[in-house]
Order: sequence, then structure tokens, then C-alpha cells
Amino acid sequence: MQLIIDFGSERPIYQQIRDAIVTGIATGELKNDEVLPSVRALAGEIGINLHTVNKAYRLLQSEGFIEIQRSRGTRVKAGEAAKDAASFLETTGEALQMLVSEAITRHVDRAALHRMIDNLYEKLEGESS
Amino acid sequence: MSTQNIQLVATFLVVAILFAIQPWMARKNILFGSVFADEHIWNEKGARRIIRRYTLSVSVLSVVLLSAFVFAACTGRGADALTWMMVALVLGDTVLFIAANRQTRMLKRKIKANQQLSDKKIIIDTAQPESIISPAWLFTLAPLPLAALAVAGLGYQAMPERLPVHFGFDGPDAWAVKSAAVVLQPIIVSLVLTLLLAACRRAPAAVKGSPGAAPGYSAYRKQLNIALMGFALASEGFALLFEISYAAPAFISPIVVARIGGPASLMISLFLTVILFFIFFRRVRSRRVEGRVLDDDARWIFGLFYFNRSDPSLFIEKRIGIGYTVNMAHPAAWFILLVIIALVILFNVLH
Repeated sequence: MQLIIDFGSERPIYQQIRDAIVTGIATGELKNDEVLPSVRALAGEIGINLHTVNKAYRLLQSEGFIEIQRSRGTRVKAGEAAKDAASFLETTGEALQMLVSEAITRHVDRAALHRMIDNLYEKLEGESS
Repeated sequence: MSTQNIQLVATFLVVAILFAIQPWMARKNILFGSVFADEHIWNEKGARRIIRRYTLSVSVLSVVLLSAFVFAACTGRGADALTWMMVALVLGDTVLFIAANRQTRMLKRKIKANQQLSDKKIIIDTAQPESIISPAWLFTLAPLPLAALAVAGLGYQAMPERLPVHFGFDGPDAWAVKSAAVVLQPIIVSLVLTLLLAACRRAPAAVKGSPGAAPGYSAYRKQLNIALMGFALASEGFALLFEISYAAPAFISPIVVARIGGPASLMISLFLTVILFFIFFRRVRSRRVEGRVLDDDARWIFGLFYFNRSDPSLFIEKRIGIGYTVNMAHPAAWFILLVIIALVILFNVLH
């Protein structure tokens, strides 16, 4: 997969790396168990701080899109669930952006929106279980 | 002219030629350390003028300095004079290179070559396998220094009080009083070489932007490192032979080692240098650049020294020439340079 980093973008670089990998999983460009470059190799290739790549990888790991193992390296976890989640994030990204930008224009506090989402998760997950 | 003077003149000529061919010792889209979108810069009239001016100046400087040396040699001060001529050559040619780099950057602005380059975006191919020499290969460099260390440790008592440390055509020309530093010198040199090699195995390419900006770099780096391992192994082999000759001169004397080792190391060095040039021209010089190229001239001071605070790489491929250079923005790079300078001074003092 081709990972495009735009140094001129307002989006932080770690976010760009994370988004590109999520897109790669959603579009099927990144296959399950595919090896990703190590943190050091990727940081060296792009010429950015190790922490930036590490942050992106940790985020992807916490979201369940990659697996980081000392012995096996960093691998893509593109099972059906991950693909579904990635494609959802892909398709709803724009809608979510509109929602958040409206919240910003209406001076809705970030923490309040976070709480609202948390409450919805708890309510809906509670209903489905 | 004495054999020593011939040897010195040969070294001078090699250095002078290496400086004169600098424009050809880089990727085709690099000119005096400045990056361009493709090799078409070589067809640019202004670029050809800068190259012509540089090679002519370097040649004139070499001839002037060599004439000065011949004059000094006739008056019997050849060796000392040539040391100064060599320093003058390196400094003078570096200044000429920096001047050519400035002219190239001006030309780049004038012909608006930077518009074809990317200064914001970079593309990485995550599927491209990272081809590096494995640690197992590097372990093959371990046995010889360990054996040399064992010989030095066990044979130290038996070693003579004065040891030959430098050899000319006619045998040893420098001696040193036996000490741990003198005995360990060959081992330390080969260990430093090995450590540097291990640190360089992941060095990124000097040109970035997309996978096509430095085509086949990964494979080139691996081949280059294998050839450099050859240098390290040869140096380790001689270190071991010297330790054996110090500890058991009756078995094999240092003079014999030097007599065999001198021509042998020259042959091995020549052979490996030919291989290095062959790999470089096949894998780097002759490759066509395709795709996006990042304009990072600002990271290359005078087109020679890499300085990038955000790049975690300590070593990077040289923009001009074969091999690697350090990222000067890292304190560790300065530490490495200081250690090398300290070792050179220490060994010179010991001699």
C-alpha cells in the first residue's frame, strides 16, 4: 500500500498514518497478516520522530487494526470485524466531521460530546446484550 | 624519487581524481548535493558550465599543488611538503565543491526546477520488503576479533618491549613501547569498523519522496554492506595475524606479516573498491528516477552534511560518493566523530 504523508496538511502526521492504514484495510489494499514497516524503519523513511509513528501504531493497536509483537513485527489485523469497522470509519468519517463541525459552531463542549457518545454506547450496547 | 615519495604521490593522485569525479559520484538527479526531479538537469547548459568550471578548477589546483611538491622533493623536503599539499588539496577541493553547490542552488532557483519537486508530500510503499543484512551475517564478524583478543591477552607477557606499529616498503618505520593500547590497537580499529557497519545497515536513502525516488536502494544497501563486511573481515584478519606475530615472533614475525599483509591488503582493498564502484554504478548511477522526489536541499548543508532534527536515523546514505554519512542533528553523531578523532590522535601519539 502507498502511504501518502502531507507535511503541509493541518492533520497531524500520526493521524495521517493511522487514517491511511484504516483506509487500506477498508479498501482491501492491506491484507490480513500483512507485515507493516517497523516503527524505526517507517520513521526513518519519512524522516520523522519515532514517537509520531509509535503514536499512530499504538492508536491502531488499541482500535484493533494492527498487532504488534516483538517476535513477529507489526502485522495488519484485517479480519471481517476489522474490515467492517474500517469501512464504517471510512464511510462515516465525512458525516462525523460535519456533525463535529456543527457542534463546534454551536459552541458545544468537546467533553460534552464525548460524554454523549459514551452514554449512547453504554445504552445501545446494554440493549443489544 | 624515493619509493615513499612515489607512494605519497599515488595517494595524492587518487584523492585528486576522487574529487574531480564528484559530479558523477551521485544519482543522476543529484548535482553537487542539490536534488532535481530527474536526470534532465545534465542537459541544462548552466549545469554543464558549473561541472566544467568545477572539474577544471580541481584539476588546476591538483597540478599546482603537485608541482609545488615536486619542487619541495627536489630540495629534499618531499614527505613533509606532501602532507601539507594533501591538506591543501582536501580543503581547496571542498571549498570548490561548496562553491559549485551554491551555484547549482542558484541555477535551480533560476530555472524554477523546484516546481517539479515535492516539498510537502512523501509516498512510502508499506509493502516494500526491507532488505538488510541479517544479524546472523554480522555475527560472522565476531570470531576473528575474539581470537585476536585471546591471543593478545595470553601472549602479552611474551611480547617484546618494542613493537613495530607502522610499515613502509623497506620494513617497519615506526615503533612503540609495549602497552595495552598499542597491543589492542588493531583489534580496536577492526571493532570500530564492525560497529559502524552494524549501525549503517538500516541507513535510509539520500533521496526521498516516493519508492521511485531512489529505485532499488534497499538491494543496493545490502550489497554495499556485504562488500563493506569484506573490508571489515580483511581488517580483522590482519589484526589477528599481527597479534599472533607480536605474541610469537619466532613463529611468524611482524615484518613477515607486514611484507605479506602490505601487498595483500592493497590487493584486497583494490578488489573491494572495484566491487564498490561496480555496485554503485549498476545500482545507483545508472538507475532512472521515477515518481515524486522530495526537495530537501535545506537538510543538506553545502550538499555534504545532513542535518535533520526530526529524522531518527543516525546514519544516512551519502548524497555524493559511496557509503554513509551521519545525521549531524544527533548528539550521538558528534560523539561518534569525536571517538574516531580521539582514536586517530591516540594512535598517532602512541607511534
